[in-house]
Amino acid sequence: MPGLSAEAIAMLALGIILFYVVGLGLGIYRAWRASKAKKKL
Amino acid sequence: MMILEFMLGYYFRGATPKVFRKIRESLEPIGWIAIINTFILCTYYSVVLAWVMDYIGLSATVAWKTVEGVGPTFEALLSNSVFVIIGLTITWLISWYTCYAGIASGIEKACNFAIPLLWILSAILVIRGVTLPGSDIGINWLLTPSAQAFSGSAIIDAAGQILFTLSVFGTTMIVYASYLAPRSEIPNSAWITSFANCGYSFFFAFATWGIIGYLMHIMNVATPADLPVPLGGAGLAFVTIPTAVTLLPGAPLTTAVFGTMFFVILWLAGYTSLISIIEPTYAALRDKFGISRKKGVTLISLLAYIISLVYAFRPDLIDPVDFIVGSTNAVWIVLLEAIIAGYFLGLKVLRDYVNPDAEWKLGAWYDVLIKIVTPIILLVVLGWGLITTTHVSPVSILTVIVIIIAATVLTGFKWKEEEKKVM
Repeated sequence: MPGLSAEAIAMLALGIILFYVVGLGLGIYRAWRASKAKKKL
Repeated sequence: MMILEFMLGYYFRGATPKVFRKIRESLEPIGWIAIINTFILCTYYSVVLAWVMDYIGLSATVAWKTVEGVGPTFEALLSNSVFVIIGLTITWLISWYTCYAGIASGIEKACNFAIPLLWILSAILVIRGVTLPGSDIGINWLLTPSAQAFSGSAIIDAAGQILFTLSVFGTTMIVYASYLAPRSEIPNSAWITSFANCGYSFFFAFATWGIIGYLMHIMNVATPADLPVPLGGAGLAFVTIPTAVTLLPGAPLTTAVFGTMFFVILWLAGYTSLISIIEPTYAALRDKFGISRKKGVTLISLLAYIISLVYAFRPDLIDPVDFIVGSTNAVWIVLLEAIIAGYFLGLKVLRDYVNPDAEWKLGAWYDVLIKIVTPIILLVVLGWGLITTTHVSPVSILTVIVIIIAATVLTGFKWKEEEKKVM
């Protein structure tokens, strides 16, 4: 979508970071770490 | 608040009336208010789902034929109660059976099927949406903040919407969390649930706004407000999207394919929500009266189905009831929940219970969020929304009265456990 404004691209990046990186990504990483720790026990 | 609801259900192992009663006996009516509120929600929510189900058929056959036929098709549906009742009956039968079959055999299986399908179909629509000519116009509108959009009723609508979409209204998440296995990881599960939901909403917005952008491009208008179609509420789903898919390249085949896909997505999302609002009502009756799942779910579904017939004949009642049940009550129930858990129970009890098994541990900072920050935000939202709203009507007031009376009556009954002790 070449027609996106700089403001829209910034909000898109913010949304991706917030929802998928910090949100889902961090949550899944924590869950993976927890399951790994449980397996060790 | 999502973490709090997870913790309350996981710690007390029951529905809201039981949870609040265990915190303090006099708080039980508030639990019932939350449950009755959820029950009323499912009575009109199922009617919207019935429209969606009818639209799956209407889209597959492109029943509106031309753009000019889209608006009249929706109006005809609203006035054709028989057609709505057919959709309503099918929707209720499927939802009743899902809850009737139990947690693992019903709700879990339904979600394991519906959610991946929802994501796959949504991905197809998002790809179609963002590759349409003019989609960037719509997506620019989606992603560009506007100060004018901040009004009192918009804020209370948004607050109600996020609480509703996350199912944080004092019932569903408490009951779902009460079914979690011992030694579950609570804070991170609540975190993933919240972000999976919000991530999906953010993702699917690109399909909707890509299509709206395409419509703006075709109709050569500068702003979405200039479009001759509604951009919110039921009109967005039942008028705007059908209008846009009718104008897709490759119509009428693409209209049928993408239109049907859109309404299947909507129905799957609504169906998983409907079962999640039937379940807490059943769980509350089970806790109090010891009623079996099969009897309880059948009783609730039948009663809700009969009440939902009223909305099938009078769809104009949905908005004033939803303003109270879906927006206002959701906000103040959550506000009370934060106060009750924060000040009457004490959050340290819950934190100490979940932290040993938590990868992400809750510190004292969490108490500050629930006891101070959340109530302040919710009070401002609720106060501002109620002062500036124009939605309050006699139907809204009647809804509040019905909820209070029903909650009082249900509180008055004896608990099954107490009866056993007396005997």
